Amino acid sequence: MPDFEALIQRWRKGDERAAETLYNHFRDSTFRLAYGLLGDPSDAEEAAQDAITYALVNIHRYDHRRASFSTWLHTITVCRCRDRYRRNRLKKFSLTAWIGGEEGLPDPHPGPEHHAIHAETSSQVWKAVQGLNPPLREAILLRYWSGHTFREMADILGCPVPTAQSRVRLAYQRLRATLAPTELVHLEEEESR
Amino acid sequence: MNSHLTDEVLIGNIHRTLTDAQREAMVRHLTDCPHCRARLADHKALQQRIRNSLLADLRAVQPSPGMRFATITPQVPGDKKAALWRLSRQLFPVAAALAALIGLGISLMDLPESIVRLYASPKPTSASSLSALACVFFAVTAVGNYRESRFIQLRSSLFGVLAFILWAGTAVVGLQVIVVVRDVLFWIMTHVSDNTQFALALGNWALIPLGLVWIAVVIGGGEYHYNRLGQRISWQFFSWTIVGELCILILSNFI
Repeated sequence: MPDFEALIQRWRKGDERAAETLYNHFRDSTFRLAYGLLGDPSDAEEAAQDAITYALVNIHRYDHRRASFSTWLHTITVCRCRDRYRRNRLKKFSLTAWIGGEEGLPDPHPGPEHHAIHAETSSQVWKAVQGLNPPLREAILLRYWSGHTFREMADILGCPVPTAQSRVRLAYQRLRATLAPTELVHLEEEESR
Repeated sequence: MNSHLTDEVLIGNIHRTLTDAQREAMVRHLTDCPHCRARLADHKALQQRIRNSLLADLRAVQPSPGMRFATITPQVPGDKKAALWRLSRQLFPVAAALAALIGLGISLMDLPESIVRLYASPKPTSASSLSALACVFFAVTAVGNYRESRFIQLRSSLFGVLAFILWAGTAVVGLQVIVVVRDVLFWIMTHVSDNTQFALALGNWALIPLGLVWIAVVIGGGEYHYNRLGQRISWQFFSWTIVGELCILILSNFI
């Protein structure tokens, strides 16, 4: 595990290699968090890239006494993903469809990786998590995927600790209700293999 | 024995959100209640399974090879010289867009006359030359953004302004293109047949379908660029639109 504080200090002095090390270390985890939140690989990549770039460009704003670098980065990532939710909500309104076309303009280059990723992540749990509303999805991912404490989650989500706790509980209850008993048996079987 | 523990308490326990007093009460109850112990075990197992499945799903995905440090290198601050160079590179498309707007504004003065005139101009007008020049500057703006990262949130507003200028600019040039197409049609018809009246009528009636196409392209294009703001594909589409318009404007030089 690299010494992040030393890397951050080196980057503040202009050492680009330190920035690259930080980037490479946090790239995958940030992308996966964004992917879990957005459910779309290209959106997730943009949000994650944007978050890491913002963190590196504004490294002078990071205060290690307030939060770890990963907590700070995840805060930025969640903000970027929320921006995406809003933009995607706007996208749902299609002017061409409204005027008379059957559908909006499709993405001409969805890319094979897009299909591959969707095929890989089509488990029932994944679908159930994607079916949660954004605040609950954020809570469950920060807790289950990133392993943040409730204190850290409260900082990231910008809410009181009890709210973060109740969101995780509520998300779990929703997942429990959504996952059919047959799927739970299937999960159990996979677990025992 | 007291009534059984609620799901709320059991779920609170597995997520470690109970207070000390609640946890102590729960432990006391569990000591004597195999039913609640079994329920707690079920919750723990389910939570673990959900967690494991989610981790497996997320670990299975990878960012594309395009997501690498080199992509953002131009955006991260280096020394002052590099910052100055970056700033000038960012301002260049803006300056080109402004120059194009000025050229287009001047050329627009001739547009009403071009639309209402009833015959084709045998020579290129100063308006179409200026529009062509504006197109070149618009192209510079669009191509100048090819290498810019779309990931910079701070710059999205600038991208928005540039995209709007390009969209509005190409829409206005599109009006001039309609006039040029009408003139070309008129020119062709006068060379095919000697019936000038028919050629004139055809050229003017062509304004209606051309106008409808223009409206569709402006609205559809606007939505396309709005949904892909700052993306390379949007700048490329602008470039191709501008190249198309430029070709038609230059065509007027040959009639």
